[in-house]
Amino acid sequence: MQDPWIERLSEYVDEELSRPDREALEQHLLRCTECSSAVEDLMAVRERARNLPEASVPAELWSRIESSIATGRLRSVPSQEARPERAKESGRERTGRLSLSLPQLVAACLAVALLSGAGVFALMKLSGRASRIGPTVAQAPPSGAAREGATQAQAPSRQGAEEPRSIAASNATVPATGSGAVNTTRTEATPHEEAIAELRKALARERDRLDPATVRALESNLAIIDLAIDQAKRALAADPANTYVKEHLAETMRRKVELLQRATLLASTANSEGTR
Amino acid sequence: MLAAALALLVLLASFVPQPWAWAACPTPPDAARIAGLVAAYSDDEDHDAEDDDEYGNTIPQPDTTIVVRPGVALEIENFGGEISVKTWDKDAIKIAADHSLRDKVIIERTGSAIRLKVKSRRFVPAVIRYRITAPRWMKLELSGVNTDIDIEDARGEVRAETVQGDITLKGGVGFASLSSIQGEITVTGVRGRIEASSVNQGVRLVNVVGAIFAESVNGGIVIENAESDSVEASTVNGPVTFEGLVSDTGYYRFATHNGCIDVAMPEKSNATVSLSTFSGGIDSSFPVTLKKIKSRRFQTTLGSGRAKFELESFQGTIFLRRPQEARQGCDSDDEKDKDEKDGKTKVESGDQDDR
Repeated sequence: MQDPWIERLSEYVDEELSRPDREALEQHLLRCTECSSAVEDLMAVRERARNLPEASVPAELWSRIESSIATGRLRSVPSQEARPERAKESGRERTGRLSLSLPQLVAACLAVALLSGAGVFALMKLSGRASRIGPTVAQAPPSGAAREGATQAQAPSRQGAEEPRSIAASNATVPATGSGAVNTTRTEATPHEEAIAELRKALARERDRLDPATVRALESNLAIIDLAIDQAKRALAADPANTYVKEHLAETMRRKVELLQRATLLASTANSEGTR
Repeated sequence: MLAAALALLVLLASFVPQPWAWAACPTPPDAARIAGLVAAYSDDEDHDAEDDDEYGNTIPQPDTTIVVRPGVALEIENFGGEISVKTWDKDAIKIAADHSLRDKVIIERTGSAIRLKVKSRRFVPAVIRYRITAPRWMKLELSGVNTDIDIEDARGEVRAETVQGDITLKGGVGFASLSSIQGEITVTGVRGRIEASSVNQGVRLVNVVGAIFAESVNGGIVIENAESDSVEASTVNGPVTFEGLVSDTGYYRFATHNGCIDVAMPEKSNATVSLSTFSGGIDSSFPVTLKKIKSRRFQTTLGSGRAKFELESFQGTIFLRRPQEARQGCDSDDEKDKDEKDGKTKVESGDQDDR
């Protein structure tokens, strides 16, 4: 059965939920890793969308819009090279460029925004589903699990404490070879890595605005996180079925993204307020 | 005639109240309203000429007290120095700032906030030591760069952010969001939701009642005597320690990559405890039954198991102990093999386990 909250996560991220719903959902998020992971993804998408560069607009656009409003009609703007043959054929001037009135432009912008938003959401849902399925499928083969269980059953507390590993066994449809698991991890980590690469670039552009001591502290902490990520990746290569390591790796990468975001924000605000 | 007009002007001017007096009036004069909702003025503008210090030494400045109506927030942006905020029962804010006379503290007053900024005549960032006494209810938004921030007994929302400086929050009620890059965060005796984050230092929360979210990268997290049904604390490089009441409906999550997790569980706790580690260990000072859930994931149930604990250390030891027992030091990891005592539970986890 599908989680009833999953449909409302977008409203939550957009801060559109009523207070009781928001509180109920927040309680739910504490316990539901699937939903909390989806919320994180949604927030990451929103953050990335916010950071998209503004598209440059041709200088003459506004004057054209103004004149369109003034004449009160949709008017074709002549284009220098716009299909002269067709224009000749039809006997009137036709161009490949369409000029719209202001309300039409606004409507078009809204439509494009809605479509791209829906596209991103659909893509994200698909990728989220894939990543959620991934770790479950890539469980360790039963033999490995049994071996591990046998090795660890030494402590006094573990007397008779082994639970049947039915989840691992029933979902072991993909052989958890080292390479397969690493690929799964890579797929899962890609959005984080892309975000990290973009933030790294942004930070590199702005880092001169930061105080050298702050830069050193940030770099040393990024190095600490990188080391943790490296260790987690190695651990995952050695133990591909380990869901804890997968989650730990994802969380450590998320932390790196957050730190880079924070550093970039710090650098960008430093411009107006002096070196930070 | 001209002289008479000038004299009349001077006489009229003498009746115009000072800006701080406007602020103190329950209804500001029309002139202030006409000028807009934003009034900007300096707290020391009358003293520049007579007290100017050519060496730029820091000299205590006269206090300014402004009457504020409920709901108004205080916003301070500082570069270097300190922001110290204490509270009182009056609906007024007392502003004192120590700084070079080459710098000016600008007090901006909007409909919803009083904002303190610095105008530096040397075009270099100023160092200001703010000493503020604010109404208890006042929302505080404080930010700095090389700035320590101290807040006492605030009952409004608190947001404090600094780059190179410590943040201390003592007493008070309400939501607090505290964040530093290079400084330590210390919270003592606060009732309310706390979000505390440091990058390069630790976070310490003592006697906090309310939800806790604490985070660090290169620092430890210590939570003592907490009374909360929602606690999340995580770091990359450092230990995490928790001592407090365990609510039956609570959720508690502690995680680190490189460090130990030390959790004091009261005797009659009702909790399901999940423990995960890759190459660390698990050590309990009291008998527990660990069920293996998945690879390197264990679970134990105490009492009815209603509360939920998630303890995760990638390569450190997870300690469970009783509150009265001494806190575990992470450096004891090396000696854990020779420290087995009666009734203790120890699980070693690591790569060798699988091979």
